[in-house]
Formats: sequence, structure tokens, C-alpha cells
Amino acid sequence: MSQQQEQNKPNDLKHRKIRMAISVGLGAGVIWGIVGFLAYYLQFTDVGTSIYAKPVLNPEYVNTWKGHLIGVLFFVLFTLIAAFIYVFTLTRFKGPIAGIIYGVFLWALLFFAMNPLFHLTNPVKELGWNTNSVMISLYVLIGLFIGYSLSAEFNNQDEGNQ
Amino acid sequence: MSPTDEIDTMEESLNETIHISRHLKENKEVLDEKLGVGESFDMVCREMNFGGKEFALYYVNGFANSDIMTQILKELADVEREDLVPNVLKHLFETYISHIQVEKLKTINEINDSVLSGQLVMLIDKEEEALVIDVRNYPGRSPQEPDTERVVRGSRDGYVETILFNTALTRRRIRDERLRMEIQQVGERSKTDVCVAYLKDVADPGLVQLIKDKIQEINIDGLPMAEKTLEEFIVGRSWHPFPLVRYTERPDVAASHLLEGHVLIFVDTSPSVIITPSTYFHHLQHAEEYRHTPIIGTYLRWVRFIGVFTSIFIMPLWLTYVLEPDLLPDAIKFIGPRETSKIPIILQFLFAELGLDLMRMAAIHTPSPLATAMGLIAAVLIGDIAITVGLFVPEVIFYAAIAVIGTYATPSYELSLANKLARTLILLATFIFKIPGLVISITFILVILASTRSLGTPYLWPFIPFNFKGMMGIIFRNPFPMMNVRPSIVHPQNQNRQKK
Repeated sequence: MSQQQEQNKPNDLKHRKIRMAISVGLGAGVIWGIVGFLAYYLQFTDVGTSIYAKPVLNPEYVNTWKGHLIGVLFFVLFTLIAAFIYVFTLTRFKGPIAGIIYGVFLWALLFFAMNPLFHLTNPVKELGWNTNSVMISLYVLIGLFIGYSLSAEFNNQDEGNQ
Repeated sequence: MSPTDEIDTMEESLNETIHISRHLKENKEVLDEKLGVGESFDMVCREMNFGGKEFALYYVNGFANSDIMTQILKELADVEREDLVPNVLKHLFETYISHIQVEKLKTINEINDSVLSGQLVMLIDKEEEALVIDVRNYPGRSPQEPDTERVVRGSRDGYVETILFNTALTRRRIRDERLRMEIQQVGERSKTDVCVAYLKDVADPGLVQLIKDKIQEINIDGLPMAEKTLEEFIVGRSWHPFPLVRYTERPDVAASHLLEGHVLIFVDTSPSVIITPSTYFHHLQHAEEYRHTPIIGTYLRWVRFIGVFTSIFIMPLWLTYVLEPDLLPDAIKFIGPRETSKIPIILQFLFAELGLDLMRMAAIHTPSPLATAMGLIAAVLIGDIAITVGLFVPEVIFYAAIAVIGTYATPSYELSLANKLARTLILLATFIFKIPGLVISITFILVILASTRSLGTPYLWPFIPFNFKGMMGIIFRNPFPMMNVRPSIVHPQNQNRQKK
């Protein structure tokens, strides 16, 4: 697969963006989902991965490990969506900073928009330092992972075009 | 005039080109002055007479191979005047000097460089060119297995201190006409040979050019520490604790990286070869993995990953639970410290780290007859007695030992020390800020590492930026028949390694 040929057609670029977003989104979901699950198991954070599935989950499952694993699956779905949003809007920003900001934005979205809407967990103010620092760090890394991966991939291509 | 001005003018006089004069006497005066014949004991000028012609031979005593020289001189001694004149130079060059590598020189400056690099220079009266004969014989060892990259099975040759042997060892493995080895000299005084090796139709031409330009820009007096000095000039970022290029002393590792499209840099006087571009994960691979079946190789790699991962995180993690015992999950409640010591755990960890590092340094410097004695003392330092005295709790010794073994199992010595530094940072952050300190320091280190670029290559590739194929290549040691394409990180011009 020659990259030069693919660039010439805008359709192929779109194709490549979709493929890349799927791969990065799945990777991000699996890796950081497991990290989030571990952080909860090690009791670093009070927010388990089950919150991602909470609106649709049987309430009995919310605090069981089955619930958290299902949460990881939903989390993968969300990182996929996040990767798709990033790849079609933000790849023009080079470097890791854009990704980190995107991560903080995702965190804010989860805790300030989704949380009050679906009552996923306690409000941010009541979560305490431990949980909040873990969640922000996690989302910074998720944002970095998704953002930098996609930016690096499609910015290198631009350099090659010039 | 300030001292720096004087040095500048001196260097200008060095750069001035002087042509060889027709009169041997004049040449000798200039050369004796420049090379310090008579002042330096190892700089020799031998005046001889062959076939009625005056000759002056310049060489450095330690470099010249006396067997070859005697042979050449013997043959010249038999030459008659009728054989030589006219056209002395032509006759000598084409007939009488029986050596494979002979060249003609036109300037005194070239003569200088040749003599100092160890060659024999022959000046002849009434001739405006000099002959340089390569009779060099550098003091050096023969190839042997490098200490840091041993394998159970496989080739046991390793690079040595002579660049010519090293390039030959590499060419022996890649008999490709497209393998390029470009040499240039670095260092105003040391004139060290630096060779950039790459496959012309594979390696990224941008990277090759970048490296060559960076080497050209170096303007230093010498490279006594060879590849390390060069690395700091090429990569920059001298304060970054993590090793940004990989070194190897194994020709087979070097050759396989060449085939993948990497660019290698050989530096004379050093057995370590620089592999560029390299990432964090390059430092976690070892030739041994490729000497076993893929599944065993994968297993070995996982053990190494787990070891390195543990060596970084186990001490901070345990410290967290010591500081916040409430957080310990029920299943692993037993790991909390049972006895307490008067000294805070963090200080115990720092003491243990210090002690272990002292031991490591001592192990490097201790002459082998004293090694046994050192081992005995080391066991006292970090062991039962330290616990009995009350300095350490047993857990500290245990976790420190795990961390150190993980450090030793890291194939790259440089990476193991950098990881250790990261661990200490995480430990301190954990001690001060508890869990927020732990997670934020880890995040901080990851962000720094991900943002680092070594020669334009993201340092944490293929993890961040994520590349699925690359990641699979890291997690699994793939079978060779399945390695169809070169890793995308080297931006190869030709992706295919074999026909699918």
C-alpha cells in the first residue's frame, strides 16, 4: 500500500481517517479501560468503569465486577466516538498539546455534563482529591493517546505532500 | 592580543594549504616543525637513499607495521638508479612499491593528516608529490562477544574499537551493493572517523541527510568518548534522562536494523554503534528473543516487560498503601508492613536505593580478586543484618530487591538507570502528595516521554502515537516468515521485506 497514491484521492484520505480512528479508538478503549478498571480495583478512585454503562445497566450490577467489565465495553464505544470526532475536526493541530486539552475537555464533558444528566456518580466537589486527580490524569492520557496518535499520523502526511 | 585570538590565528595557520616544494630540504624543514619530529619521541623521520635519490620517510612509531615496512624498504634497496630516472614517482608508484594501498599526495597538509593517522609518507627529492603507503597496524583486540548483549546461542562476534573491522563485520552480513557507508572526520584535533551506514534504497533520505548535516555542524576539538559525545551533538536534549538512541555492540543486531531501514552511526575508537531512529521500546528488545521460537521469544519479552514495569511501579505502589492503609483491597491486605521501624518508609526506600546503587558502582570498579569479598559485604549491607539492626523492615528489602532485579533485566543499561530515576521521582511525589502525587507524577512522566522526539521520531511509538501493527510487533515476537513489511516508524522508501 503506497501512501503517496492514497493521498492523491480525497476519498482515500477519508477512508484512511476512518480506519485510523477505528484502530486508535479501539486501542484507547481497551488500554485505558483496563487502566481505569485497575485504578478502581486498587481503590485509587471511587469512580468505577461501570458508570459508562450506568444509564442502561441493571442497577443491581453497578457495583459488581461484571458491571465494571460491561462498563469497559461501553467505554470502548465512547473512545471510538471520541476518536472519530477528533479525526474529523482536530487533526490539523500538531503535537501533543491539542490531545491533552481534548482529554481535559472529555473529562469536563463526563463530569460536568453527563454526570448531572444521568446521575452517574457524585458531583465533582464531593469526589475528593484522590478520585479527581486519578480521573483527570486518566483523561489527559486518553486525550493524549487519541489526539497525538491521530495528529501525528495525518500531519506527517501533510509534510510529505508539500 | 587576548589568548583566544592567538588560538584563532593558530588554527588559521593550520588550515593554510602548503604545496610540496621541489626541494626535499625545504619540505623536511616544514614537516619537522609541524609534526614535531625530534620533540615527540614517536614521530619519526627516516632519511634514506635508494638508487641515488634522497628519500625522507615519515611515520608514527606505534602505528607502522615494521614487517611490511621492512619488506618495502628491502625491495627499494635493490633498485638501481637506471630503473628509477626519469619519472621517479611513476616508476615507484607503478612498479617498485609492492603494497596494495598507495596514493599520491600534493600538499603538506595531506601529508600531516596521513602521517598522524598512522600511514607511511615517502617524500622524494626533486618531486612535487609524495607517496603515502598504508602500513597501519592499530593496536586493538579481535572481535569477541560483548558483555552486555550475550546470547545462549548464536554468533559470538562483537564490534571492536577499530572502525574498519566494524564496517567489515557489518558488510559480512549484508553483501548488498546498496549498503552505503559514508565516512567523515569529526574533531579539530582528534580527527575521529565517523561512518554513517544505511541501505540507499530503503532508509529515509531525510533522516540520512539530517544526520550527516548534524555531524558536519560539529565543531569540537575531539571525540574521546566517541559515540556518546556524538550522540549528544546529534540528538541534542542533553538533559533528557532517557536514552534517545539505542546502542549495540552486536553486528547481527546492527545488520537487522539496517535491513529494517534504520541508519547506523559508527564512530572510530568505540565498539558501540548508534542505531537511529530508536524509541523507548527498542531499548526493551534483546537479540536473545530472536534466537528462540517465536512463542518462547514472546514469553521472554513479556517477562522482561513485566520485570521492567514492576521495577518502576512496585515501590511507589507499596508506599501508597503504607501511607493510606485504608485503601488496600481486601484480597491483598497481607502486604501491608507488619513491623514498623523508627525510620519512615520513604527514607528506608531512599537508603536502600542508595545502598544498591553503591553496590552496583562498587561491582563495576572492584577488581575481580576482590569481587567475592564485595559480595559478602553487599549481603550484609542489604539483608538480614540491616533488618536486625532495625534500619529496614523486611518488605523494603524485598521490594527494593524486586525493583533492582527488574532494573538489571533491562537490556539497555542506559534505560535501566533512567527508569530508576523515574521511579525515585514517583516515590518522592507519592510520599508528599499520596495518591494524587502518584498518578500525576506518572502522567507527567508519560506526557514528557510521549512529547519527546528523537531525531523527529516520537519516543513512545507505537504506544503513543498508537500504531496497531507496530504495537503487535512489540507485544509479540513475530516469526520471520510473517515479517513482510518494515516498521513504518523508519519511513522506509521500500516497505516490503519479502514477497508475500
